[in-house]
Amino acid sequence: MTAQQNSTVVAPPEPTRSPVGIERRRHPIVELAKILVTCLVIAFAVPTVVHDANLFLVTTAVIYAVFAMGTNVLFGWTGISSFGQAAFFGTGAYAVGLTKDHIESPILAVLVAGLAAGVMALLFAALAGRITGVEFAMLTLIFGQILWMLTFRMDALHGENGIPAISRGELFGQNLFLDDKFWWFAVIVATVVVLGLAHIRRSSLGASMNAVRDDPLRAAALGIDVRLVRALAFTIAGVVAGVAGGLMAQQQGLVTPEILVWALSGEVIVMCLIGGMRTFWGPAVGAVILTVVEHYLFDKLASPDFFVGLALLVVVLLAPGGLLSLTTVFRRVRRRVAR
Amino acid sequence: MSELISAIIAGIAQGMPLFIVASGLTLIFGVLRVLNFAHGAFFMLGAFLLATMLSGGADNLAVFLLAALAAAAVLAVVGVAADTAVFKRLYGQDHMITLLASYALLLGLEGLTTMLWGNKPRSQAPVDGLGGSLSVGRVEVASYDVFLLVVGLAIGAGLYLLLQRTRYGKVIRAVSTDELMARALGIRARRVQAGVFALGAALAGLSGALMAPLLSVDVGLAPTYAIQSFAIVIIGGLGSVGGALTAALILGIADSLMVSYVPDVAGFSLYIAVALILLLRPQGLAGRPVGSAA
Repeated sequence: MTAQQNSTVVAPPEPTRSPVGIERRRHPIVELAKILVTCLVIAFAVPTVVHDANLFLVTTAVIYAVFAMGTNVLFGWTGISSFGQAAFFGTGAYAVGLTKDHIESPILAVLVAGLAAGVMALLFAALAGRITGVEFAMLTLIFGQILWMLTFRMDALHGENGIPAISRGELFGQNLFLDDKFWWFAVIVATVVVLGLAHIRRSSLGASMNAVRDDPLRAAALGIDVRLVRALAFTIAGVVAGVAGGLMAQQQGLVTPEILVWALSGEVIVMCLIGGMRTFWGPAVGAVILTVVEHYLFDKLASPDFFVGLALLVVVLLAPGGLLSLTTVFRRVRRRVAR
Repeated sequence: MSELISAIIAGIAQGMPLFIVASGLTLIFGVLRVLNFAHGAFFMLGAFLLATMLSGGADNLAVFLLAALAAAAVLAVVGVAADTAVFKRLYGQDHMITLLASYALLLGLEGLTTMLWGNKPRSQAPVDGLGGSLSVGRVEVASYDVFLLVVGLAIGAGLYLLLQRTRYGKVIRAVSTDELMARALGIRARRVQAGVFALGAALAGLSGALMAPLLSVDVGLAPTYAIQSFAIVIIGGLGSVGGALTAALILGIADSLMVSYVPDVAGFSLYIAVALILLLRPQGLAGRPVGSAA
């Protein structure tokens, strides 16, 4: 309250947030090349270290990483809260499930998944264009719940049993049924998505998203169509969630209503938060950490929720910028020590 | 016509419990500006505590009410603990951060409940004498719904009187409007905030305890009632107790009308009603903070 009153008299201090968009800019090709190299290193390195069931787990983690990075377009880039991203993840998964007899190419299937979720997200954003903030988050949550319940009502979706026997298909003569082949497929799709996201982040649309996040009024005054930017961000997040959901359907070979459960919408936010919403890779790191830790630690316990909640609470209270934000803290401490 | 009337009466009976659950949430938001997703977990704990204390049955109303109040008292303590450990540090921060922190708390409490009580759902029989139904004209109403209606109105009136007609209410409104100024005038704002959080959590616990006879008592209650009470509070206007009452009744009636005239939507009619109202009136129905009116 008082801060607002002061700001009319004295110029407000420059925001001290760690900016996503204002870091030192390198040539776009250099930046995209760096991302490509990072992805390639991961793609080659992981199968030499982990095998079999563990490779399956890491593939799952990569799929969640894609989902989380897409979700962070909302939370971290544009400042939109959504508690219903599982709706779009699930839409993608069910799109792959429903078209399993008609589409053979796994790439085409993933594209259809992204398209279906993207259309769904665009429609939602168009309908809810006037709504922002907590009310918007509530509406996304409700939308997710309605979709989840629809899976039990619509005969084509087969309720609790879901859609089984989804084939991973073949690509360039490679049978993706083998986990080490599917690893490559998932990583290549993930790389394309990440490159796309990096490109958007550098574009004027990315800058507009950050402007809308930091101050919607000022952004509007600068001529940015705030509603359009929000709708685009929501659609992009929807497409990415759909692609990730499609990959998940292929990997698991089965889609059930579990994939639309609201807890998944919460979990993907936890991933973003643990890794750090203000960093590009943060959500991916958070997704990998949470997936692996949940598998090895929490699932062995009677009530994993307690520990997930506790971990999240610690992060929110002690490192609200996420784990990746700790690197800047370390850097600051080191600088002070050096001085 | 009689179908319409019975649907409306059923809707009111359905809306009242929703208000009882949401009242604590809207109080906490109105005064502390904290969106407490863990409210659903407080509700769930209230139900578990009551079912454990009475071990499933209840002989007379006095014992039942005493147990419900005891559950509320425990939750008041839990509320103060949660406020001190978590929310105090987050006052004035972005809604998103408090929402996530309270989500974490919800998960944690859910997990803790599973550890303490196990996975098996419990059931709680209604109090002897309140299990039957009354007939109003040609319409049958469950006695327990009438009981909840009375309790809900009492809670609504109590909150109104507390906030508008007592000295403590004035202090609460002062802290809600301008914490800094209230502090400057010698009000121990920190104590008031803890008190409000305790009251809000106690209301959640009380509602969970009172509704236990109608529900299957398991951890699934936490997210369900977190979502429903959030819907009520947002539609009623964040922080408005009167708005929450209106919203709960409107939603209850809309829900019951939809179920009786469009049976296909049964199960998610409440969600559809919330979505429609939000799309038509994004600012909510009332949208006045606690400071201006109850």
